[in-house]
Amino acid sequence: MRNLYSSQNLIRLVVGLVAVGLVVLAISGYLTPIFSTSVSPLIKTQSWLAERYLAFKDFFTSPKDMATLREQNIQLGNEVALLQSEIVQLQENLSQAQILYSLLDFMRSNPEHEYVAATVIGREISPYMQYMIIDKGSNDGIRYGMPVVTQQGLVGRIDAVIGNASRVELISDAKSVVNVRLQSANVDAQVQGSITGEMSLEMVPQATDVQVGEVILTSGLGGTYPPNIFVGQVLTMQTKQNTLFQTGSVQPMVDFSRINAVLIITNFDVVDITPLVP
Amino acid sequence: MLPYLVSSVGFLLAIMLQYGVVGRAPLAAGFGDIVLLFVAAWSLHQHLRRFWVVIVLFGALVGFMSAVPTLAILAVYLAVYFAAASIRFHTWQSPLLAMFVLTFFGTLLEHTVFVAVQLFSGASVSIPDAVGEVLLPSVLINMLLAIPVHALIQEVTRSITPTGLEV
Repeated sequence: MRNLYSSQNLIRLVVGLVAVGLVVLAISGYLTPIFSTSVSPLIKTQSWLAERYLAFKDFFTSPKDMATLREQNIQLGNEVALLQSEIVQLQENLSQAQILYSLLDFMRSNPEHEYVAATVIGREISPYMQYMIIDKGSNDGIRYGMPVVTQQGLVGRIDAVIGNASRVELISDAKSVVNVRLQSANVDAQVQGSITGEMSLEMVPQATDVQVGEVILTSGLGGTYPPNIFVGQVLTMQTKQNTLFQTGSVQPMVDFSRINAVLIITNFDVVDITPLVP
Repeated sequence: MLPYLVSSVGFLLAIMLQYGVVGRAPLAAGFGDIVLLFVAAWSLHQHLRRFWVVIVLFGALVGFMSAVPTLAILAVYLAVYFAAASIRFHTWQSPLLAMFVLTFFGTLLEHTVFVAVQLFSGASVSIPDAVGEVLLPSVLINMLLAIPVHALIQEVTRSITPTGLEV
């Protein structure tokens, strides 16, 4: 009994009560501010240590990562270059397909003719002559004089042929004369080229009222071109006194500087009327 | 033999460039003539005794493809060749100046011949249009193209001919 109340047991009892009291206070939340205040320096210290450790680690591992990143960057750069070249190729194919589709539309809308499609591969060396070279020749059934068109209208006629290529005289050439018909006025006239590639309307009777924008079609006269192919539109008209005919300028349907593909009408028989010309 | 071979390859490349690229890039109604520039530059930088044979062969090829008579083209290219051969000794210290002179007068000669061909063939030619729309833009393009063509041919001829050796 004396041992029960010994000083050691009393100390144990007090410590136990204090511990239980602290636990109760901690559970009930009364000690939270004290904990926060006491733990905060520890957290700060831990954060500082962690940051320094990560910096230290990065210092030793980053060169390896940089090399890897550079390698990946080069690979990605190569892939981008490859994809860009593929895009350019696809755009080129798309552009070519659009041209071919429009030529196909023209062929379907004009089924009375037979066509051979050709690609433009060059232009005449003399700027005073409006000619172009295409990649189809006598091996493909191309013959001298055959008319050449695009989906927009008349381009010209075959001027010279070899096995795998032909030379086309454009209707804008200075020596080219196309017999035409003014659609609304229903009058025959001629469209003539020039050394600069500009086209003029000639031989329009003075009495004819020609409006700007009048559509010009081939008349078929002379036997050089089939009738009813678009040639262009009237841009301006000039009437001079004491002359038999009016003249005008023509806006061609076809942009000759941007032609990439053409159609050659292969079933049109050119009529040579040279012996009949007085 | 090597200079003849290289000049032939260069001539062929110039013809392909002319028909495929330069001829399709007009300024107003005129465009450059890279073949003429090639003949001028090569004749200036390397004196080959029989380079005129190369000019005749490839000039005939150009004439075969072109609507311009072959003789007219040959006359222009040979005139440029002989002009280059005669002035290369007088202006040897300033080959670029010689190139400009050749380009300017060569282009004038070429266009005079082309217009004459048109007139003889019966086409109507407006001289003011020919000068303003075709000749002047063509001269400008040729003068601009003369610089890179001159530099390129100079490097090529130097690389195929050892210094001090004249073929």
